[in-house]
Amino acid sequence: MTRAEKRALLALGIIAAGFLPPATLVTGKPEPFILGLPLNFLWLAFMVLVTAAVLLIAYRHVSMHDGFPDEKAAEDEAGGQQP
Amino acid sequence: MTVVLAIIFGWLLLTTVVGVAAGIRRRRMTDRAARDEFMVGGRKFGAVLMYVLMAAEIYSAFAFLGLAGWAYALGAPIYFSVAYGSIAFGIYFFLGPRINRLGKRLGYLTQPDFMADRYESRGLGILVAVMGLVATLLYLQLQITGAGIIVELASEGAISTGAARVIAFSLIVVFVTVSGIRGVGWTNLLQAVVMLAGMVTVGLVFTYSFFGGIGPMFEKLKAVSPGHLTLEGVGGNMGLMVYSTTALCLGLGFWMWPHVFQATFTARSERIVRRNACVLPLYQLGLLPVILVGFTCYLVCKDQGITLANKDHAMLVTLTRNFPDWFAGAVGAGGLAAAVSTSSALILTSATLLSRNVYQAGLRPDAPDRTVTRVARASVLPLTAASVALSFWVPDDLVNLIKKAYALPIQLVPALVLGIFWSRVRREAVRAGLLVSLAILAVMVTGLWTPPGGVYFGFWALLPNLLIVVVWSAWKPAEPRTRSRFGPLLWPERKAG
Repeated sequence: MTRAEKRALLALGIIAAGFLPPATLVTGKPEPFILGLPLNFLWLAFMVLVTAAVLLIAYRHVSMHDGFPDEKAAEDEAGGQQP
Repeated sequence: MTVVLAIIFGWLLLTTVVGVAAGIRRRRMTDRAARDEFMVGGRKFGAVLMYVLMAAEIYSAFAFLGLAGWAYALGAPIYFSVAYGSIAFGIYFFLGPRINRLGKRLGYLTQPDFMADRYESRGLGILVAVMGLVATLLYLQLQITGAGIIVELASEGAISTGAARVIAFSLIVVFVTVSGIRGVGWTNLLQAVVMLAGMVTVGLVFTYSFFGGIGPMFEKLKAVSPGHLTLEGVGGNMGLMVYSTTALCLGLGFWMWPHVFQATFTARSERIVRRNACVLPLYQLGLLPVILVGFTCYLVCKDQGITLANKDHAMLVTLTRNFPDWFAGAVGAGGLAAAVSTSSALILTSATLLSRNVYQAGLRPDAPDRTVTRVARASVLPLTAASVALSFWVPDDLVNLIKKAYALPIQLVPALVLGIFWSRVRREAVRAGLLVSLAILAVMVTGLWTPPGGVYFGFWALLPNLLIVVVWSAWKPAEPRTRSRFGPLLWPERKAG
């Protein structure tokens, strides 16, 4: 893994931990309602959005630092063929 | 009734036409190019085809019926399904580009191709191919069962589940045989629109028409059956351990499926794979309305005194009894779309595994490319027929089927994930780990030992497998041959400074 990817790995940790449901974790009782909806249900929807957002940030970070090996190889090949 | 059947079968026919058309316009190509075109779309899929190919793996018959059925019967524990998909895409962000790179540079077409090459063991490749075949046929059985339920219930019994299975899967066989993975991709594009529209519409229409909104539905559920809103579930025997181990194991196992692995080879570039990993989690939002449907069905069935023969019937029974025919037909078409899109990829993959990794690798290593493609095309029909037969002889409910099917691919996590990221992982460790985990699975499936604590049973087999591979690999240095072959692709040396 590259250094940028190792930093992006933090994203995966956030995602995996974030999906542990917050409310029933300790109570084991019916979950509390927030904005008229059960907390876990809302939390899941929120976490899906967080997952996409965190991965997009990681994508930006990794592409800026590492680029893509297949594109680099293609560029090198194209460069090598020029007279 | 005629309206329902016209919508469902009209949709199925349209799918077949699109699937066949995708592969009928063929250029003249070499035998090798024809084989690659059939199995991995010539490695030329762009962002959209790749996206729908992957997304179809999430939206299967399970997502349509099993999810609503589980929410109906057990309640909140089904939230794991939203969690596992998102975790899976997080993992794919790191794994996907590497799989795509290996496929392109080393010419892999299937998952066992990688296993056989990485560990220099033809036997390991064949073992993984057989495991993949068994798991794929089980998962296919889930789709076939789901498709049968959808057509039978949406038509209120006018077409039996058996007839529905045979008709739907005969048509899939046609376009998979003719067009290979390109047909699968194009039909998935068509299906994605109907699936998403069906899921979101049915979720909102159900809650609003019966209770005036999502909030009031949850309020009533809290009053009538508070167990539905606890992580322990209605029976009180689930809980955090089940939720977290199932979500984690299925999230990890998702990428161990041979059809998902193979789909990654179709992408034109690593950038497309990584971009897709970022946007695919959004597709998970479509699962939430189906969970709402399950909760709504529970309350409606209780009010109307409806008793279900099977919890997977919850959505469609409520639908046909309370909504007009055209709406039942449209939702039925959406459900069938979900089953068809996943099934077609599964059928293609099982045919590829059989021809490439069992026939060519095991029986006829000198078989030319043209013969391998022919064997793959020819095995589409018998493999589908075997799975349809299995769905009649060994019927099971959808959630049980998905859990059983996942138990096998999950065992490949140490060999595949560690094998890609860690140069030290070696053949002997992988072989020993796999054999131990398969033995444990056999003991559990035959009922000789029941895993304690409600933990997902695949997890008990994975744990020793993982330990064996990690300890063995940490103990010995990387093999120089492995380093020199895969190093430049997977573990490039960092430049000093």
